[in-house]
Amino acid sequence: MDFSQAGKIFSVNLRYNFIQHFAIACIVALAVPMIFSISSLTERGAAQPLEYLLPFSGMFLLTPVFYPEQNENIRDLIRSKRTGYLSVCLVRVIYSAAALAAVVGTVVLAMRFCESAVTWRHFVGAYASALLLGSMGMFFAGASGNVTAGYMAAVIYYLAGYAMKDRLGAASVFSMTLGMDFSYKYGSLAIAAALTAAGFSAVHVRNSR
Amino acid sequence: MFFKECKKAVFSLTFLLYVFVVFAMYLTQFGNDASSAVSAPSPDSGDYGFTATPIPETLMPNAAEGLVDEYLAGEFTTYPTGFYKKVKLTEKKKTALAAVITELTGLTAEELDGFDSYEPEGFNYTADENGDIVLSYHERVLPEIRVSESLTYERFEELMEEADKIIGGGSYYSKKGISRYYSMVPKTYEQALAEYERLINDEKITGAYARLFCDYSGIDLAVMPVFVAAALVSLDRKYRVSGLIYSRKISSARLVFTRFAALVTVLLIPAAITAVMANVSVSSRYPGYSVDMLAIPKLAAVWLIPNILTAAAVGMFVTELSSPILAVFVQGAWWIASVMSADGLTGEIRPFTLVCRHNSLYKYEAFANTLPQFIFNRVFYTVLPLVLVGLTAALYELKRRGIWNGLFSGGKNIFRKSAV
Amino acid sequence: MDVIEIKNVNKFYGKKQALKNVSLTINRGMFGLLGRNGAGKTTLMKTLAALHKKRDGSISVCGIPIENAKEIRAVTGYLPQDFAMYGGMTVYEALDYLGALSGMPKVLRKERIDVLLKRVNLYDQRGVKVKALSGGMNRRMGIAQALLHDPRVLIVDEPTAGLDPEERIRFRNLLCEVAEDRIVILSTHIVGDIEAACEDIAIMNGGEILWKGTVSELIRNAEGKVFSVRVQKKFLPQIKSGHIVTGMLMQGDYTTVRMVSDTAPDIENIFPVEPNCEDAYIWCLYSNGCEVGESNGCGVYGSEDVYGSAGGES
Repeated sequence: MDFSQAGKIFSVNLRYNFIQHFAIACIVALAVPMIFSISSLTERGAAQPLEYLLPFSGMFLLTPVFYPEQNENIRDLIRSKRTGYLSVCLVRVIYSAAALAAVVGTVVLAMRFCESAVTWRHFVGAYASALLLGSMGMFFAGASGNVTAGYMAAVIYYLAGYAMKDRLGAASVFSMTLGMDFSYKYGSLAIAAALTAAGFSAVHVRNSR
Repeated sequence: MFFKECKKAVFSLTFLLYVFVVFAMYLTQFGNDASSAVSAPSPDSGDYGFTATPIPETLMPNAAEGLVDEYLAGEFTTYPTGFYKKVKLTEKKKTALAAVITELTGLTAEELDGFDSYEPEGFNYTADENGDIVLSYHERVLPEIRVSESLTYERFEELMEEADKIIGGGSYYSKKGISRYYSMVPKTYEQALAEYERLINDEKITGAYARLFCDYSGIDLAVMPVFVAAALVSLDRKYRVSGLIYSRKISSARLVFTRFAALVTVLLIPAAITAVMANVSVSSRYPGYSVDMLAIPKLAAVWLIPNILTAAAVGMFVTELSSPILAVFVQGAWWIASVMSADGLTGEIRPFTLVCRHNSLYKYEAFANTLPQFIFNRVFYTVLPLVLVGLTAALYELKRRGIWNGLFSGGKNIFRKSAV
Repeated sequence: MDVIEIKNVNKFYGKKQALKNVSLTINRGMFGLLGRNGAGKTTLMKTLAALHKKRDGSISVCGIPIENAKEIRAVTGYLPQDFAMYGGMTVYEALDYLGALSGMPKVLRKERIDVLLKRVNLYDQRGVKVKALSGGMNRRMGIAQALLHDPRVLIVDEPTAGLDPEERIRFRNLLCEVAEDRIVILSTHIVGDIEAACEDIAIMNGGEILWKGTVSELIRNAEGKVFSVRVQKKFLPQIKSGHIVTGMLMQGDYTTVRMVSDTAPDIENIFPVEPNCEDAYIWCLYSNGCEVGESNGCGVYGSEDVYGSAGGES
């Protein structure tokens, strides 16, 4: 994939396969100050809006990475071209993760502006949680070939994490709110990366039946 | 056709996940609460729990103390949307709050800010002579608080409301907070006994458990069906069977309503099984009592079917309108809003609450008071989904004739308009 | 070396065998894959386009082993049964994107897209959204995208399904032109397409290659096996139940019936006739032990198909 080709894949996918998901992720982010107040929060208290709601931005951005080709005809068409199908999906993961960082960063900055005690750790932590939930959705969507199942699995995972508290360890979306050590967040990032890889492998296996 | 659609719904990953959630919720929530029988209150135990009865003489000083405590600590505990939230005030708001405290207690801002010996309640860790750590509780240290004698209870309520507003809502000084944190008085033996007898005799036990069961089950049933519905409709597009289905002679309305009926039937099965399981399990905890063997399934039919209908109809309608993703988003957002806006878990059923709550075996009066709203509510959420399904059929017909392709669906929909 | 060699290929979907010991050699020109729905045509074509994996056997496309998917995709163009693209993409945008996916540089893409759009007669529609194209335009658009990177092999799956007769003929002619300097593999369940366009054909059934050869060989095989008779209408049900009828022509109270049979059926006034392609196809299925008859709706007369009526409604 050369530079101009990658650029084309970026621009076309951003235009046709991104905006609606990004819009939903932004609505989720806008809902944060509506449901939680984001001003004058303590360090621990600031974790709550970031971990309770914002991960859904990640879910809406990352779960539909394989969705444009859910129609078998489109999938075969794209796969019949020389550029590997998964490279196209990887491009989507890259820009979705970047957009997610922007969304999370904006919320964290807004909280900082509203005199909440947020630090870069809040940003990394919230980003890790959002990536974790998103990659869970991506994995299930890829493995099942059905984007809806991906969202459902992500929501169930979220609820399970809520119920199981710190027993999930690094796999918990809520580790900052629960007051767990920050190093768990690095574990979350690793799990998100592993789930993404697993999702890609699942799609590869399903495609090459 | 009906059974084919049922089969399609049953053999889907989303339905499997749905079944998992329904049973997991049942076991962890209701199953947990109903794991042992409630026993009759004993006349000499003296402890029968609490009930909310405002008594101004004790309530006002307690609330004032709480407010001063939090003011001095500089942090306020709030639950604006059901989630715990600590709030710090800006200087401007702090001044405004100090004015409220001044009217309430006579303490001026200078007196408050000049009070150096403030300490919140907490624990002291000290080492004894053996070097072991000893934990000791200490009370909070506050300036002396006397509620102004001229203050009426009405004015007190206004001040509390103002304080709550300054803090940002959902604080201990909101109406709800006052009732929940400062109005609790111990129940008398007679009150406790009356509640217990109502449970055993009037409600035949399961009548009360039915509300608790529906309270818990209603939560997941108001959202999970949307996934199954959205997946079912989008599966249609995925496997190109739209092409086959669109050209069949069967009318759109019949097709869509049959599909909806099949979907709802399939979704009902796990819910019905848990309802029967709940009734059996509750009755087994009360051997020798007269138990209504149908109370839970009966109430569940009225309380829960509208939830399933609504979530499934939204799933079908929005997926047909646009995409399964938007369907998940719409129902998810509505569900969260509904669950979070319930600021009390009993006696708060309003005409348009999607998720009706009653998280108690008791408080029958609170439920009975809202019964007319409840009935209206459930009828509304039975009619609304039927209207949505009707609209879905209309959309389907438009697509069938190739007049319209769906919002944002574009090329993913294999149906094209005729040449331009 | 424009040739596709398929040797002893097997493929399974779970336990179901989708391709059974398929061996074929395909040379330059139009090659037709004929068979009922579900005969394994699509599976074979997807396998050739390196979209599906075979279990065993070997395939080489222009000397490239099929395992080398990337190079295979560089020399093949594929048109799926229904051509569809994302959201509100226009014809030009879709082609430009698909060209980029084929690794074509921008300048070349622009040049090729214009040439191809003119060739498939869609130049005036280049700004139209893909989803707004009619059935025939959609298929032509599909061919344009498959030819964009000038592949040596073109694989088209059921390209004539759902087209009206005029569009079908135009489309077939387009394919014939394209086939002059490359391999074109076309699958269909409509005999007319094969007769009009292909020299070499293979007939598939149940995942197997039932027969392979040229169209004229196919017809020659059926010589002496096709009969015609004029009967009263009331005898029709009887004839249909006992014989393999390939055609009927109603004429008042009488009907002329065509049928295939190993020996002349015992019906008064029956006489042998020259086989046409449809007769020959049915005879081929029958003589190779396939169930043929009205009961299984073998669809050979099927110019009417499900997609057709859907497309036609608008």
